[in-house]
Amino acid sequence: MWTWAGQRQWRQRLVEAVSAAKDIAKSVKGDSSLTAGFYGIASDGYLTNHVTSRTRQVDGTRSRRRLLGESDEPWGAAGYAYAAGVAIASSSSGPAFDRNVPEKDLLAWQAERSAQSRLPAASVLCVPMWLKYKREATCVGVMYFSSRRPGAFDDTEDDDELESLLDQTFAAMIDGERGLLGRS
Amino acid sequence: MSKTFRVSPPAQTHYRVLDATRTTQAKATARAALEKARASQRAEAVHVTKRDTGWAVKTEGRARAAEVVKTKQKAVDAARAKAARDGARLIEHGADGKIVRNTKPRREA
Repeated sequence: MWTWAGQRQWRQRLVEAVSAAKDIAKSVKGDSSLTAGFYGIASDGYLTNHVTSRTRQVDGTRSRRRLLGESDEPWGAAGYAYAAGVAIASSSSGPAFDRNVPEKDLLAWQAERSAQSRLPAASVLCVPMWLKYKREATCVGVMYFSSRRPGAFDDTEDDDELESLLDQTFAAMIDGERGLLGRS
Repeated sequence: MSKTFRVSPPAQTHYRVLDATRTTQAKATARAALEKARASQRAEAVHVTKRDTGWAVKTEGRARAAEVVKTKQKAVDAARAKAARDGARLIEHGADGKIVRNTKPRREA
């Protein structure tokens, strides 16, 4: 079950991550398009964009972005990060999340985003999130920073700090009273 | 490998985010920046929720309740004062956890 209250709480943590990132990383300082978000892996193998630092209540009525995380050719940087289990920074002239996406799906998504006046990202930094529970480590999804500025994450000097920010933000997100899928 | 993405609230306390590959310096820098960011953000809402020991007043985003009192009325009064002071919303939950009232208390002159 997903609730707006739970989503808003997560959004708050992500907003703080964006603010902290601008504070510590030279490469994203002053970047007004910087966004943080979380793709969770669903039981059907799809990575689903659960929440971003810009999620609004009205977004709940729209379909969430989903990537096939466990296919041989994962969609975009989030899919690669999930499949490879390592942080991946990606810059492209097009939407960074959409390399390897079938053209038909890409055009449909771009049209949908355009209708909502939301521009796609040009750079992303994706970090897979691993949880340890009862001695078992499981990858539960991907946290990311994205920017409309090409090359926003090309400066590797700040990578460790930005990745740690995402780790700690995710830890704060699941430390609340609400479950990962809202209050249960 | 099959993965189910669900964490129940009692289980959350036993989960740990794995971050062994980051340097200690990077973790400390990130922690300090997050704390600074949290401090600069205004509270969005103050919740009144039922606990086993009474009624809790909890600011959204904080890990711990500000206080736990015996009656709901006392908790609502404390939460209202806190929300008015911080310019936040007051969200009252019922004993079943569902939201029963969502208001924006005015700051008293």
